[in-house]
Amino acid sequence: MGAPAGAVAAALEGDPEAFRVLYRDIQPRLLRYLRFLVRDDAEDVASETWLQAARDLHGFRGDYDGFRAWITTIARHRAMDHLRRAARRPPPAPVAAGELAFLAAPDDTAAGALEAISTGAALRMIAALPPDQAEAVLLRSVMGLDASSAARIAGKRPGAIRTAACRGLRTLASRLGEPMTQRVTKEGDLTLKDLR
Amino acid sequence: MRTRQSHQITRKSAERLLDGSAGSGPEQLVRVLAAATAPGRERELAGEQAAVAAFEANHHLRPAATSRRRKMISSPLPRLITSKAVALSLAAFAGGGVAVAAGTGAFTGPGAVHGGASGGGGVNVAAPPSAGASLHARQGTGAGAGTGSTPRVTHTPSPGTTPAPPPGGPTAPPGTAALCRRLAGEAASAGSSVLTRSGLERALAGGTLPRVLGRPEFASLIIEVRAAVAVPDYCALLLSLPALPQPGDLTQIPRAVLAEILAALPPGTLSQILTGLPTATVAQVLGELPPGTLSRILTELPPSALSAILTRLPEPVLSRILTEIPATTLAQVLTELPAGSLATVLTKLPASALATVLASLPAGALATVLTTLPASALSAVLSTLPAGTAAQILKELPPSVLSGILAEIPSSLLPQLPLG
Repeated sequence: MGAPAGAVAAALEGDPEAFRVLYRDIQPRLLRYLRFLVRDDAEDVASETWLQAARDLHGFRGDYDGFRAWITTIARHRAMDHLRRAARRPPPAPVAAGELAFLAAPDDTAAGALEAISTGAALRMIAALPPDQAEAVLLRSVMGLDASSAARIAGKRPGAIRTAACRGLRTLASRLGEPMTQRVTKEGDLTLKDLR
Repeated sequence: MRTRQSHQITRKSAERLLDGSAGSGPEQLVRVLAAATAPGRERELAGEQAAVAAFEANHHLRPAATSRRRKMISSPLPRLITSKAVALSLAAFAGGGVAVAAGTGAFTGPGAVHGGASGGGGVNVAAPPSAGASLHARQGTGAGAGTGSTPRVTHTPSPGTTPAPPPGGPTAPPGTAALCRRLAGEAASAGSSVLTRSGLERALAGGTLPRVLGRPEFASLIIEVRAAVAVPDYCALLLSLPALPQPGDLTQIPRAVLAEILAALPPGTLSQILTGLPTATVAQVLGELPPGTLSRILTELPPSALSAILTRLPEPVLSRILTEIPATTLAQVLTELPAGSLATVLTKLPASALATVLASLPAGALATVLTTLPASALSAVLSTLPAGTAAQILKELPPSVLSGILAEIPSSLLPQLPLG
């Protein structure tokens, strides 16, 4: 079995091992994205998503990127169902002090000695961004979707996704204490560019 | 690497960072993104077997071209049977504490790649084959510098970590597969000769099976599967047969058994089944379930499935269901429905059922329901109710909700409402 690109074609042929490859590749990303949307229900929603994907796969046509976008769309719909049911989402959990400590590490030269930041801590930091920024960053980076796929899924224009993702990264960087020598200027410019 | 002071997050560099194609970037930010996109850990893959089993249940019959198999695929019923069998087999595994086989023998995906990567030091080696090339490429840049030679513990299941799976099928408590084979052998009166795959299939689907299954030696099988009717499907799954036995009619299954099977299904599977069945079948199934099971099922369904099911039920069944479930379930069900579905459901009910339903709702849920209803449906509901019930219901509402409702409905309706 080859790359996930081939896995999609093989799964469409009915090969369960190909479907397993897709699951292993995509499920962790999906779970991380869903945790932002539905917190503790992420696992349940992810299970429902895969069951629906298994059932509806025969109606899917496309490549590996398309498959990721397709299943992310399913996941978001299921998550919205859950949110409607839960009525409101609790605020994101704060990042524990210990997790921030290493981030304040003084110097690049000490980088090799630093502990790796945990995936959970990174995701909580992203989830603590304004929701549209958080979702844009997650769709673009964690789900690995391009801006136009991410836009379709989030129900926005591609430009709006790019803007939100860019702002998200700036916010993250500033919260991480990165000096940003460049003045973060003219957010309006971004919007104008988007509109072109 | 440039010093971090020189990094700027422009629109363009943000895109590159998100694509994982940035050569460098603000150190800490790169590290956060790398951590967020780190390869999956084993605990993130807990649902793997269920997902693959669902896939197999839906797809493994597709390459075969016999008309019977085609029929099985197109009919909604087999979905129930296969999903049921999957659910039951998974439940049996959980109960037996036996590892579910990953069937990874021929698998060369991320797990296998990872197996060779642990000594590499670079995190991106552990990424899945080509997705990794784009998604995890950044880990070789910023994160690589940050983590140095410290290998991340990012296991995906590999053949070595799964306890001795027999290739191809799920495992079950020891001896169960053998018991299934014996059951099929006895049903086919095959004596001690070994049945072929198609022989096994025929035997499990055959008419003699129920009688043979009644023998004491197979009691453990029934206990394990929890319902005799599901045994053939369970065995077929266990023996990795290419086609499941011909499914019986869902509505022929004894009510108590059906209730047990449906109540044991996870919500996702359950909603998949109920929304996939023809309306008449759903109506018959739900219409015959005891209130307790019904209540459990309705509260577990996600709102979308609940809407899809309730809005298409014929009025008598709908009335019966809504008036028989406990008030707390009723409140939960009605407050979860989106406005459109709520309107469809409530305006379908005859006056008596509507009165019973609304009168049994707790005040809070009643307020939610009435304020959710579109104005036209609200008018229809209030004018359908007997005057006494309407008065009683309106009295329950807090003044703010009441005034909101009164503002919504046409003034022509007001004289009919016993206010004050």
